[in-house]
Amino acid sequence: METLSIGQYFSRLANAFGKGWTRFWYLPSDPFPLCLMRILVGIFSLCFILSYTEDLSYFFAQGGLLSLELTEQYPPFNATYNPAVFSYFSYLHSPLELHIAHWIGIVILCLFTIGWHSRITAVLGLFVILSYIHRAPLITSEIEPLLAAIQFYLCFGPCGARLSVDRYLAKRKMPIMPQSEQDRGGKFFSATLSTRLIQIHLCIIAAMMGIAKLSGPGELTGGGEWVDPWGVGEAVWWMIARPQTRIFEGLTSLRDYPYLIAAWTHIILLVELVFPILIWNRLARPLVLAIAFVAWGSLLLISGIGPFYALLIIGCISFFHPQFIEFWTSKLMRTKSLEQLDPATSVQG
Amino acid sequence: MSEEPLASENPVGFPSPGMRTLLTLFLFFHFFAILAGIAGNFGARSGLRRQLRASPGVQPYLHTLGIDTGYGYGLISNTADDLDHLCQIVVNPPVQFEGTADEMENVQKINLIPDAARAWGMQKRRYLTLASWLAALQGDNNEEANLVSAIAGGMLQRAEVESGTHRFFCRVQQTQDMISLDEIEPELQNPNHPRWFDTVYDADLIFEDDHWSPSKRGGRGEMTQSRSKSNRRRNR
Repeated sequence: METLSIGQYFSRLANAFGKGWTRFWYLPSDPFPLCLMRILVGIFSLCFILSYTEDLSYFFAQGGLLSLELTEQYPPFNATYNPAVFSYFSYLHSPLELHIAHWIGIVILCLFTIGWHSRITAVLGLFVILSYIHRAPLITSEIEPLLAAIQFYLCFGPCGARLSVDRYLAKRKMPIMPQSEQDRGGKFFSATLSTRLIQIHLCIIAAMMGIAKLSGPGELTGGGEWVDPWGVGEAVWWMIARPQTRIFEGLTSLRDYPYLIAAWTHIILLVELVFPILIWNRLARPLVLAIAFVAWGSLLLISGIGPFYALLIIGCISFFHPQFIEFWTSKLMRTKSLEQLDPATSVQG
Repeated sequence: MSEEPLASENPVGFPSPGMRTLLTLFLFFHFFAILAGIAGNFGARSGLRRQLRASPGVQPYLHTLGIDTGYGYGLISNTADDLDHLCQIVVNPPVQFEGTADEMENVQKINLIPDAARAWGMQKRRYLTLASWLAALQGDNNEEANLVSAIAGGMLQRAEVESGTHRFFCRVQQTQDMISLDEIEPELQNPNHPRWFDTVYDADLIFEDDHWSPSKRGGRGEMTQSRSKSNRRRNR
């Protein structure tokens, strides 16, 4: 075994850490997963702001539910004055003005989704989403911070490099790839940076969800005996039993299967605790992703914040290998184009 | 992202060393802010967690980007926060109106949540979140009154009610314990039966100085466990 002085040890440690750090964050990679996420996050963002359409005037217009004065009163948003917290809805008061701004936002997100000038529309899309969040923090839930975070991370990467109008136009303009791009092999360090940001963020969120479930509420008043729903294995039932957010009435029949409910509850807890660790093991990754999809997919149906779990699942695409996504995407597209070419195929199904 | 050796100081496709330094500084600050924001999210709040959250730049940064994670990611914690809160206005209730189930059947009501809102959609979640704020602000008379005034004003404006004296209710919908329906009284098998609802806030609405002012009558007014022993006994 090589003997090192303390100075040499720290020098080698710093060197190895630096190289590992640089490789982890900046090694150029294929942006394909990021591009697929652009489309899915774009569709999600569109659904997010389209769901405001009916209530836009009710919420934000003069005399509506959420007057500007009310929004500014409530913590933590009134904790410190922050001029960067900006929403264009704060300056619009009539229903017509609100709806014009709303539909402009929808157009921007449509352009982002199809990948038209993605670098610009990604930033504008973030600005649109934040305008809704900042105008009405009283009606935000777990969904908005995750959406804003993923949209923010997409701004860093070349999310319009593939599967986009940008790509189509560039190919039409210049059928042969320029030398600089050939040297790069279609890989970008910014794709890695963006993907890693999403991956780390998801791990933090998953760990936080697991720990929050283990630790229970922060404050309990009123005394009395407290029953931990995640500990006793009834948490899933308590979510199913909430009438306002119940999607499937049939799930209430699970009251007769307490062991199933307990297993379901504890699997969710287990997934959230092990996800941030085991997802980094290449061998375990497919299994962890599969179980996470099942656990979060089930919470999508019963938690009352289904869109949050849908977004978590979309975020998990960042852990997929680009070639894996490319293979399935091209396979899907080839099948579709074959069906288009041969009408008999599509007719016969 | 395959493993490749970093042969030179600035390999092809990598950012320049200066850019890498800047990005690294950003990454450190970004994840410090995220972790500091999350630190105060669960369990007992320690002084260190509060100090982390109050570190310079952390809160403005998180708020600006809309990534502050101060929400109930535990989903279910056996507190009143778990339950669905519903706001309702009874328009021009009769004198001696107490809001009982029988009385409620024969009066004009305005619900905060539109009937068309879907259980899985984001629209319904927003209304439920807004109503839960009212429950969370119970006890702070000033904030509570401001919020009720705003919510009630919006609801009445939408229903085109411009005058009169009305009653504002915030109710919490209890849920059934994990027992068979056969063990529950037949009438309680309907989750929307009035006995599943507790009133947490009850106020008269009076129009004065261009806005609706609430005059509080009562309500539970405190955060309690959602499933007390008495609830369990009632269900069985």
